[in-house]
Amino acid sequence: MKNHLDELKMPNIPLNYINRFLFQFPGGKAPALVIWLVIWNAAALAIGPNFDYYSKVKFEYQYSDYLEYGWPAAVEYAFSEHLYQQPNPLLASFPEHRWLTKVTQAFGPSLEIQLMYHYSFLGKNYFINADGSRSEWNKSEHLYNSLLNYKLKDNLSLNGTVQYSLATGNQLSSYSAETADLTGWMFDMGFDWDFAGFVRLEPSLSFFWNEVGGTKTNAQSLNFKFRQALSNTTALQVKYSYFHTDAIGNQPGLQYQTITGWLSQWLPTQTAVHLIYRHHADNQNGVSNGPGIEISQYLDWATVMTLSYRNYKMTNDDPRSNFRQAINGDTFTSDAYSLILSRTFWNDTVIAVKYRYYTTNQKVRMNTYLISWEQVF
Amino acid sequence: MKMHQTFMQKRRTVASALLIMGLIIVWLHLIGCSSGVYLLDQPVSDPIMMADDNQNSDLARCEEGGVAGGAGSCPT
Repeated sequence: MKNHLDELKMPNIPLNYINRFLFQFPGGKAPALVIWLVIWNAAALAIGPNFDYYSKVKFEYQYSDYLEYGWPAAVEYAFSEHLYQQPNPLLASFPEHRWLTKVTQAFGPSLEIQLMYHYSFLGKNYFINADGSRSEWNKSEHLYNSLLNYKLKDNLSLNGTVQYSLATGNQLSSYSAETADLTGWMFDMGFDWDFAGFVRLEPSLSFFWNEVGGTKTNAQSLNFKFRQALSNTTALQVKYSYFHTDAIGNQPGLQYQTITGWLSQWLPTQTAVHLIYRHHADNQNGVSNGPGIEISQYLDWATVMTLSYRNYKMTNDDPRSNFRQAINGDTFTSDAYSLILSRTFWNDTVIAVKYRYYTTNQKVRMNTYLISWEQVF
Repeated sequence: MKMHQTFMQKRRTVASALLIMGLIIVWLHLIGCSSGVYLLDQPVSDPIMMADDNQNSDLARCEEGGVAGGAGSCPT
């Protein structure tokens, strides 16, 4: 039977031409990026410092040092036919190297445009074949994201996102070592309504079109975030997500719901404490719970230290599920401890460093280091 | 079915409505509605009180459970 999804046309934007124009400089992409940033900043300086026309540039680099990595199909094990990492961000594998460049430009008091580029490199993945031999492949992902934010009123803004991603080295199935490229488009639209700090609503709706190995999938996601100040020192925040993909041939579609709650308390010691609880359930018998705590402390007016701990436990009572096939036992648990130090220099520069230790009941254990630099012009 | 309420029934209806309205007003007061505008200058609006918005980097936000799109821009 012909899948109606095959008839869907992927948006066809000549990214090769854009890529060639932006990055075909002698020496490769890094010098090209620096040249464009110099041009951008020269233009920003020419306009002059203006509160309504600021430019912001941000760089981030993250390195994950795997102490142990023996999970056979860590990345797309759960829903390999759909190739979405999104449903289980808490237990997806973490790329070894990740870079981010983000440029934000405000055009007057109401309009802000943001362009972002991610590059993720997972390094070597290991896959255990049926005969016990081991295959290796490299996985990397490029992600181009643009966000437009338009303020309709003082307390109401509208945002829209267009995103293109290209991931190479995707495993076609949890049971095969064959790989293919993934191309994906995402369109998202949402509102942010903030009533004077005491009620905040952020609904958004996303559409995804992905293609891997000739198979096309589409998906929709509905997100809703609500924040309520219970007093001048206490706030409650709830985030709900619903994700839906259509069936592909005989493969059933994936649906999941996630609800996350935060209870935040301010203490007179210039401290914010967040108690977190995340619950996730999908239509393939997967259920997970993730409690956590975060403590943020002002060390002085410009320096914030954040300590956090998160526990995650996912179980699946279907022994035939991909989840059960990929892990040892029927339960996956992880614990993550992290420390973030963030400091503002000269009012327009923010530098942050992060360290995280991550351990699981499977053969995955790592240290993660991150440095970030943000500059306002 | 009675078409008209007696005096006592009307009084009960009015009393119940007043009680419910009173409870709503008390609840609105307790959750901070009465001081809504004022809360912008209060600790509850400090950046480090904004839960998932400011606690992480753009990269790590995705790995800690963020969502794609306007709210998170994570890989799909």
